[in-house]
Amino acid sequence: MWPLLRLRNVRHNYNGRTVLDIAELSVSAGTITGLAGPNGSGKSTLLKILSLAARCTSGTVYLRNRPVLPFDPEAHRRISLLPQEAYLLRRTVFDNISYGLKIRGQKNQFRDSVAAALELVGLDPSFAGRFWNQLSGGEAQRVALAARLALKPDCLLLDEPTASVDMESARCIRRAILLARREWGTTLIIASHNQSWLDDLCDTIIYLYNGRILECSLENVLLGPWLQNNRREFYKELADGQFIHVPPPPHPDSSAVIASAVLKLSGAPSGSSRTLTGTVSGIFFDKHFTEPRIHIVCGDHRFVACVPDMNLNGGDLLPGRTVTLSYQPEDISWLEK
Amino acid sequence: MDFILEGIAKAFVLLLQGDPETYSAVWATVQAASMSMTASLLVGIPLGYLLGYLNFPGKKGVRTVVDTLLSLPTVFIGLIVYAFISNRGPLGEFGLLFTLTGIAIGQTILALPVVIALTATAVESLDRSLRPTLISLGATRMQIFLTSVREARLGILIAAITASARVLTEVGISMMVGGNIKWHTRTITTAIALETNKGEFATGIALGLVLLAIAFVISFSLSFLRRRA
Repeated sequence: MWPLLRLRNVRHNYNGRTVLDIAELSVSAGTITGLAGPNGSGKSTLLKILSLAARCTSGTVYLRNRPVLPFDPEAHRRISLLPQEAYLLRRTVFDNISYGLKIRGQKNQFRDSVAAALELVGLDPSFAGRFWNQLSGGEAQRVALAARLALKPDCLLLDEPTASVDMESARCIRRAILLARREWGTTLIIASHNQSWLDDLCDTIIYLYNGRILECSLENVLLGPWLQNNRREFYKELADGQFIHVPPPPHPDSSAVIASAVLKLSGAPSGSSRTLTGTVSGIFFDKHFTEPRIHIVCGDHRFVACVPDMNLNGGDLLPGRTVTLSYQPEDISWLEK
Repeated sequence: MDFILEGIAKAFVLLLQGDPETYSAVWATVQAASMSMTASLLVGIPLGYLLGYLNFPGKKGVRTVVDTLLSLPTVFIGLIVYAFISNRGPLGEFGLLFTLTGIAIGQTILALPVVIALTATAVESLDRSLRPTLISLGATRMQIFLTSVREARLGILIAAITASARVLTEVGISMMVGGNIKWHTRTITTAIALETNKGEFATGIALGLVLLAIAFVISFSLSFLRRRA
């Protein structure tokens, strides 16, 4: 079975700068894939390229193993993108939702399709008569989603779908896209800053940083610049006066990452390990990880460490407790600039 | 002051009695303006769309040229069109000199930069997310063009109104290319100029009132369409 979408050696430049560089990426049909990463990491660019709304500078996008380009007539009828700030045509809600159906040459059944799409996103069918400027931000986003769901796409890409909407709209959006997957097998690709939302919703999460896919999650990222002491060790001072020691960075401004699995919760340093003291701020259980994840605040940084379930029994890791984190500087990896 | 008031009174009489000379000028004006506006909108809207939508090397230069052409003097356009369509000109064989079609050609050249420049501005001011939105809904290039034009309809409407105002009120082209021939190519503006020279203020004022009425209808239509848009 071919993946629904596949990228191969895709590179995208903007103003002479490479903003996306992906050697290989596959998205299986019927799955929910999350895209996580800080601002400027390339999430929106990747969504545009996957949805064929933009052409990559080099590389190939495959739809079911067939190379496709923007304006490919078949691909455009299968894939739809909901941008972060969805644009509504200066028309009624009905015209906005039926637009995609009309340009596909469907002549009848608009009314039923529009009403069904509105209900899917939790809006009353009477909304159909409203104009684009009579909607709140959350309603506009739901109407934009309804316009895409009316097309019953094979793949729906959503860019920060709940970033600027109220809780009720966020709940309706989540329910509608899950229903689309269940009813029509729609593949969902969602870019979001909301890590817990992605953790909860997605089958797979792809972490992007500077346009590249990371092998690990984006927790425990330490941004430069790095200083050097008179023992030629590189370090960074946290807000509470503690120091994080790192191996020599490729660049003084490079960003480092400590995988949550290599952070140990222990009482005292051993061998060449370094320690940090922090306060537990929360314990999280996540379907993507077999072990609970402990959030620990050290100065102005929040670290995430994985611990076996059994370690929770003693109550030493309850929120508010002070704990010691230890790590080996050699386990710290560098993110490419 | 009395002769002005007398002129206004006589003007109403002429209009209400259906003075054939006055209405001939009105009809010639409407015919020439209709032809020129149709041509300038058909050519100007796609060109303005491309100028506003596309990014290409030399775009700023093209934009500067179009903006410069906004202030083309009508007598200069009249002179150029006259040179081209007179018997000695390259288009002389078509017999366009002293015809309403000849006037319409000149007026199209006058209106075209206005339509292009204002359409380009309207398209440039469209929301950046319109294109990805339309692509994501499966629109083809032609559907993107037609929908974008519809989204920019208010700006394009203003372009059309501004261009038609320029066309309706110009004298130079109508005078030089049309020749101000009675019953034939005499337009409202050339008739006003002639009647004023002759001291016939009543006819001049009557025609001026018709121009004002046309301006009012256009302005009223604009505000009506703006509300609808």
